[in-house]
Amino acid sequence: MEKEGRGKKILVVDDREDSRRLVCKILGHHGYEVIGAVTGEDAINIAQTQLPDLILMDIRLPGIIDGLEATRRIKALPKLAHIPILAMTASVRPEDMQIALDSGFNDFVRKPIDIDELPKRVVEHIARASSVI
Amino acid sequence: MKKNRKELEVIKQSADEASEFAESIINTVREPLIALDQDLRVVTASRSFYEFFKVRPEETVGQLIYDLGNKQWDIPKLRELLETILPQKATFDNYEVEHDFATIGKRIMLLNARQIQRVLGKERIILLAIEDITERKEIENGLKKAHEELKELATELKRTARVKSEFLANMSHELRTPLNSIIGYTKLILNGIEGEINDEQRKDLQTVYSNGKHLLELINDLLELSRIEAGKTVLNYGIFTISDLLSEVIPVLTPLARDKGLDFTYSVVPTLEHLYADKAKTKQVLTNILSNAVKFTNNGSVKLNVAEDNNVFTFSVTDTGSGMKKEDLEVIFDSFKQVGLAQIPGYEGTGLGLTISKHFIEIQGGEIWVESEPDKGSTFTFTLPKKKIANP
Repeated sequence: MEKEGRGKKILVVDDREDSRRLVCKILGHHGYEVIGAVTGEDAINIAQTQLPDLILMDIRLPGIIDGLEATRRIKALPKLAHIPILAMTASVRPEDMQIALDSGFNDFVRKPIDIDELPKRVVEHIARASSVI
Repeated sequence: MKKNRKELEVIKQSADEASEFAESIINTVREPLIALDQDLRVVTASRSFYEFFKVRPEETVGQLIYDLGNKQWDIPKLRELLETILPQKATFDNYEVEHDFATIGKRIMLLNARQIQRVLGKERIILLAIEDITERKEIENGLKKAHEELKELATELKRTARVKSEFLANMSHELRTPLNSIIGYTKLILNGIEGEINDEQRKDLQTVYSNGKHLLELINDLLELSRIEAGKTVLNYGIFTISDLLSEVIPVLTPLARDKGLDFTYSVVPTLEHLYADKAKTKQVLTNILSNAVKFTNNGSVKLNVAEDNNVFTFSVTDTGSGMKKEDLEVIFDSFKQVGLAQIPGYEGTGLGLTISKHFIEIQGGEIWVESEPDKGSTFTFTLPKKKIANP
């Protein structure tokens, strides 16, 4: 069976190693090439050199550049603006969701991550992004 | 002369009559009343005056008003009224004087003063009516104070509710983060991504997984409840049909009922009318009472019935479960009141489902209630009002 993630690259940004590794394992199982980043700064640099098909980004990140700011900066770069960025968040506050969408996130996935649901959302957003181009 | 004397007698008689008439009026008035002459000496006082101020007529009439009751009446504000205000103004009403009397204690009085110019002679008479408003003032002040205290309390309560809600939202975030790993990695192994596992391992992991999910449900419900308490529930009204709703609920419930060998049926009155309500919240309520029915019924059936009249849609769920005692029915919608759970191992809920359901129905203008008897099953019913849709 051909796996849907074959040839697709995903950047996962999360400062918690266990959360990052979990997403890597789930998406790796579906054939994606998964790259990890720990900080917002790393995420921006890696995105520019690796040009991933999709970015999964934790909203709360250590340092000056949190997930919201990193997303704003990536979306401001013409070369990267088309890449779908999904927020990963343990918050369920509607106001936090709105801030995420306002910062340029395309969508969000809730933590705890539903490991059956996540691959479907990734497929959906990659398909949507490529149909726009 | 004789005639004159007679006339004089008649005049004197009518003068006496007039005076008696005036005295009886004065004595009828309930408020203390006192009349002063030009020099502020007491001409006469009403019975109520003597009673109220506990003074005798013989130590009052002819005295300077300030000297009454051992100079108890030497009140600066009274001096101001009698010596400064009245000479300029013949009438003065509702003049408030507060004074601490040795005999009757601290009183607050309203004085109504009238200055009467006599026709004959240059003497004038001052009439003072005294209204004791001490108690009224005390009540007013008490009410004012109570009102201020209530306002402060309300502000404090609102602040506390907000702090609590913020705290719970933050706690929920912190609790979800480790649960992300517990639930995620367990499911990863259960899904076979890490390789084959044997049946015993699967069973153990399933236990970890379902407990993790239960903990998550508890956190969600607590957060929802705190939002309800903070008055932050947001309704998202939308248009949908009964079958839209049931197509999302029935597939979840059918396998649960089948696993327990229960007969799960539903009857819906065919309707063309659409609901205008919060679909997600209505779905949560319906799922909650249906899954409760399945949980607490060990054999027999669970029936869902949806009906309508001119004003409301009515959803009822009837089971053949253990039923409830009267005292349990009264608390079933309160937080953390689970009835008869101790006897049923494995059926843990959060104890918040019905509290949240009640709120979700009531803020949409509906009602929710339960009818039940021990060993005769239970029927949970809720209604949703038919709302006029502006632009369907």
